[in-house]
Amino acid sequence: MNRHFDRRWPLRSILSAFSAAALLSGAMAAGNPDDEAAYFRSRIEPLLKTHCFECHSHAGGKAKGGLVLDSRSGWTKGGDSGPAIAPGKPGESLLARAIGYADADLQMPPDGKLPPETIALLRDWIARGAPDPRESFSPEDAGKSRPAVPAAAELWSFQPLKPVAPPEVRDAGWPRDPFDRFLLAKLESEGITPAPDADAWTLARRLYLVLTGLPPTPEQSDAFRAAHERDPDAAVADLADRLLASPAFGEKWARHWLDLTAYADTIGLGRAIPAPEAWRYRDYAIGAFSGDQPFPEFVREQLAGDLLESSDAAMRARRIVATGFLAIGPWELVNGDKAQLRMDVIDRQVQRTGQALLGMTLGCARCHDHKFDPVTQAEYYGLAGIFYSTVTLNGRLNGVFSAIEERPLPETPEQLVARAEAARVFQKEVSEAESRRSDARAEAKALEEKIAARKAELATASTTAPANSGAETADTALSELQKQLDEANGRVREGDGRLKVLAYLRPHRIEALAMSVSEMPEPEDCRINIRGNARQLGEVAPRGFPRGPAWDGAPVAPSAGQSGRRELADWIVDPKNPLAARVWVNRVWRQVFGEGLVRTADNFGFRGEAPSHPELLDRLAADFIADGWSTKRLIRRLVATRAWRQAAVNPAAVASGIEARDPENRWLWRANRRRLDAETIRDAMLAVSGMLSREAGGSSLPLEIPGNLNTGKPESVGDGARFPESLSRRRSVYLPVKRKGPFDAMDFLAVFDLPDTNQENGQRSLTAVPTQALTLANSPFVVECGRALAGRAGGGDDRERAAALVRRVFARPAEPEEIDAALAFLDELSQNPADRPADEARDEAWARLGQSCLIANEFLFRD
Amino acid sequence: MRFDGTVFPGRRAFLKTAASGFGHTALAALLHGQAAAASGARPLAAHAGHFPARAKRVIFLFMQGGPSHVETFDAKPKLDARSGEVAPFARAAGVEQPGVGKMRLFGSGWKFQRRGQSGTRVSELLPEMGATIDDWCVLNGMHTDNLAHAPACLQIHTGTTTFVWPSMGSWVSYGLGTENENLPAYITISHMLSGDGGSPQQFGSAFLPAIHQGTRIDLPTAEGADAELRYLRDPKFAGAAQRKQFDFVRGLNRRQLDRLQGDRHMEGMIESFELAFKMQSAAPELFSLKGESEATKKLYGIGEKETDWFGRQCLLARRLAESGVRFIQLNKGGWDHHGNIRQGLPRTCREIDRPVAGLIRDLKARGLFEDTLVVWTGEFGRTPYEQDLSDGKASMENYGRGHNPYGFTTLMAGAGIRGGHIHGATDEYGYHAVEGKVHIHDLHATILHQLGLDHERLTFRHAGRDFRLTDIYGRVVDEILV
Repeated sequence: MNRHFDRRWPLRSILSAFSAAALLSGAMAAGNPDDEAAYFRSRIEPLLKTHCFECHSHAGGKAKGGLVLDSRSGWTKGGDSGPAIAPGKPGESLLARAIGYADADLQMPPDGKLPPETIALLRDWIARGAPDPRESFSPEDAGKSRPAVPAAAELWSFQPLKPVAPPEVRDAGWPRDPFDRFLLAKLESEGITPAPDADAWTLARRLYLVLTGLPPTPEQSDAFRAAHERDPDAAVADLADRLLASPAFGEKWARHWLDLTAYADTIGLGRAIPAPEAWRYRDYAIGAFSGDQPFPEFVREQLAGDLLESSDAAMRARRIVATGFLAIGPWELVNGDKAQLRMDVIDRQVQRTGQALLGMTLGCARCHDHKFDPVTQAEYYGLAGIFYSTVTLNGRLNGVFSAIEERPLPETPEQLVARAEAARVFQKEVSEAESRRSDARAEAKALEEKIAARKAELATASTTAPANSGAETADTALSELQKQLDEANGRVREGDGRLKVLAYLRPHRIEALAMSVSEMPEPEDCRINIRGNARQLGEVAPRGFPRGPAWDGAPVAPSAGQSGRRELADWIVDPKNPLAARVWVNRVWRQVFGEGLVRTADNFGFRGEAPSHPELLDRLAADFIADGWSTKRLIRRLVATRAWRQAAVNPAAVASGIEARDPENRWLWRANRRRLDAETIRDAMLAVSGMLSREAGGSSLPLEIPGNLNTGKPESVGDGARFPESLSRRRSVYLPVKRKGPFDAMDFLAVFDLPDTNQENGQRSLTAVPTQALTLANSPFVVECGRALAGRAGGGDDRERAAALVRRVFARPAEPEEIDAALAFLDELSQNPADRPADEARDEAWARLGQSCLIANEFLFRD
Repeated sequence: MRFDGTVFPGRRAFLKTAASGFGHTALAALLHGQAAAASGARPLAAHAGHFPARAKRVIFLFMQGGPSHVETFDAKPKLDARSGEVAPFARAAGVEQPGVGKMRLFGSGWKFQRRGQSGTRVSELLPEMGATIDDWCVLNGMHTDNLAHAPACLQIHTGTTTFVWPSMGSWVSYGLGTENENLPAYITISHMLSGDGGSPQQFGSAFLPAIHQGTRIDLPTAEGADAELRYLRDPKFAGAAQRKQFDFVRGLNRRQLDRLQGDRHMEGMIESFELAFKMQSAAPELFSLKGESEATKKLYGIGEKETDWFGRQCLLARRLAESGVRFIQLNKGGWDHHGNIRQGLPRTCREIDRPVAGLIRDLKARGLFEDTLVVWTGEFGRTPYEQDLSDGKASMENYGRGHNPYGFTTLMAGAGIRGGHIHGATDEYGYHAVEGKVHIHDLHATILHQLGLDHERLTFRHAGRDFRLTDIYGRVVDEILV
């Protein structure tokens, strides 16, 4: 037996605290580090776990007083009162003091003093120098002291895609696509009949809104109805083809993708620092959906576009722009702690990649192992290392502000010619501004001289005639000159402001730049950040991919020499990766059907929801992959299903009590009715009132308008930024987005659940709150749309006009009672116009009728 | 009560609220994934917390910019005595601040006096607040995690310096609902939206149902102006005419709903129009200070140039408190004295001194002090050493102070808080909190505790885990409770 041990450990207390087996292992303690570790593991750690971890560990979910005891660094750093242990000095150790109950203010554990033997053990451990092998917070240890995380093998979404044949159904005439058979089989097994088909009006509006985000014109719904009468299947297929080919499709569907990337045109949570080149990424996304880019290419370009071989300048430029997926985000550039800022950026990149592409909540493993899903902290930092080896922020903008990485884009010869012309125009603009300012300066100087001369004249006059002492203020010539001087000085100031703005815009006008990431010169693995703190570093976590979603032959780590972004992209879109295809087809399904088969579209983990139709989801994914990962072809199939063409009401099923069994329509016994999303409400209001501008693409930050750009350093965009008229009538996807929410002119969108622009979001919420009603009732935008709408209701008598208006807004013929009610409303509102002529009051009433239709549920929702 | 995102008010609470006239509308916040809320669930209906509450409401006075604690509530004689000498301590490592290279101590420019029965030392810059010092508990051991405005402001509102998490007002709304469903549960007045200190993120609901987000009302600085809520009214179309329009729209909606066998979300929209209509008539009266007596206005410094604006904020806060608003935030910037603190600080202090003291006196006079928790705080404090942004060109009298997250002062009053008490201390120069340390998480835990909420049990499941305002931290500072 060890001498050390003999001296310090009274046998009786040891026996009272530990089993004989523990005694034996303890007997080997002291001496070499392995023995020290064993001693700690067998003797001390169990005590800490039993008595301290509840309040002082990650597993316990608490760090009372800021102290954790589940790692060596936990007590080295200590809590609010400083280090908990002074190795070798129990007398100076807070922990020893606390358990000794000597100090009335510091008694631990709070619910009662520990047995003397236990206190002696802990004090002795400290006296021995507090050997503690837990150099970093260790995932394995944490796993033991909390409910075990179910293994990867138990998570449905990690399992390989299964080839599934569609089930047999009794009503073989109903399905239009094998997908329908999965749904119908479930309904039949529950004894439910699907809803009848929706009528042609409803279907036309649904197709237009879901595929393009714009409602049909009366002519378009008429045409569809005629085709639908001849052949419903062909009518749907034809219209779907045409809508998928229209530019509006890309605009609608890219917006969903932008939600997943927390897109905005500014950087920073506090200051609205402009990201004047972010729009290129937005346009890239629109182009990718319009061009039906195969999903794997879409993913590779966004994660590693700068690393891919390109055949020409246009392709190379597109791929650099695509990395905006990683480069654009709510980076807190002003954060003075640059090490933490770097890790915060990397964290968002890991989270975003995990959430958008894999349906995994990887962010949960930043500070500790994922509590619910099979993802360790080491795996998190394995991924983080890939982005740690990537440059996102680069140098300094000004003082403490970090700079974002902007890189020049290769251009085609034609683009270069056009750019040279743009540079010439820009230079001319600068020269003109300069000469306007120097003219104004010269003018001001001349006026100052004149004023001085006039004042001298007046002074002479007043000395000769002292009664005239107020002459200066009374002199009209002088005050006129002063007015002119103020005006000239105003133009000088305006010129100063204009030139500052132009200086800011110079690089963006005369060069083609993109927000992008690039490779670090040498890839570098990341060390685990203990508790997510960039200054408390643990072990190195070699770069690698998550192990959970595994398959035969799956790579586990990138090769040396590169960051690994390219190989990460390959790993994600590997046809055998069980997550990417499932997650994406579920997102597409959600956009088309209004609800996902997995409703937690961003979370395919244990805390997410299981799919309502797992076989269907696998079949969708398999067919999607087999069909070249084409999103457009997938959408075309989905809208052609019989299930999608159902009406939103199913009286027979309701009569049979279905609402008690499936209140949320997970079995799809009817179509899901949805309130339109924010952009669609605004775009549809502009469209039906004839005000929508179809201008597309390009920068939309209104920096050209003097006063919008604060030219302090760093530049920021003003809150009340003004917009050119044309911009404010564009589709919502082209409106600039600020990190801290929309610009004032766009607050309409925020009211209708535009997601937080700082948070990646694939599951927008839908609320019904009074601020929406106030906005619909009182915002000038809606009132203006109502007026324009009434103005285009055409000629004819009031009855015909009202019918045309209802028809245009609801995309269906008006019913007689509706027209009666509308006319009664018009009469009531234009009664007794005390304050204005009767025809004006009538026009106003029409405008309010238009507005009323735009704020009715039937317009704000789709069946 | 459940805290999993759907809140079903008890039957008694429902009847009580309905009887008092506020219960006609049900606003179903149909948050995705929370769709289980039964029809008629009222997420804003008042409900009890985890245990009996001392506070029914909170008035949070946010002093954005970082008030200098060593010149207001944390007297440091040694710092004052050695002003101009090189500091005998090192600057905290790993962070960047411009213009602090010389590390010279910079004493308070103003004297402290013992005030009230408690004899608490208060700067001569705050004579009126000094007169109410026996009502306040002074927390001198505050500390926070980041020294830049944006992350620190985010932390004092949401607990995190980095993530998009709900504001404490949103948590309170979620946890307790509100006593007056005609008004939002969480109102913030003239909240800064931009710059380093302001962002809608600070009053956002993040992943909590959107109905819990703070409603920002704007109080114009022009003398005599009332607060405004965006789109509350259409000046050209109000009253009876608009009622006709609402009735017409309601008719359209009802007709459609009948065809559709009902739809919860559509019903929610119909009800929200009714609530909006009520707000249109209730809010302007509530926001108007015209009915307040001259004596009351004077108490708050209303009508005097420097105190008018914040005085109106404070008086409006009392009116909102009386009307049953659960969480009321007032906002006052101007504390970020990097330069010229000798000129700047007295003015900022004057702007709030009388209004804040007036609020305390008025709450006491009206019996609201007992169940209203008042909190006065910045996002951090200021360094005891000077900051010179002029590169040595200006004299020391024109210097200012940098940001100091390591030690600063917060004040709390009302609703079960020990008045006239000092808790915690910074070191002898006022740099680091050393005794009675209270982190932002602890402040949050204590605020929730006074409202009857256990910060460890007030949770919401999001992205696969249960979130709380205090993350995995937080301790109720029971030393400051009665």
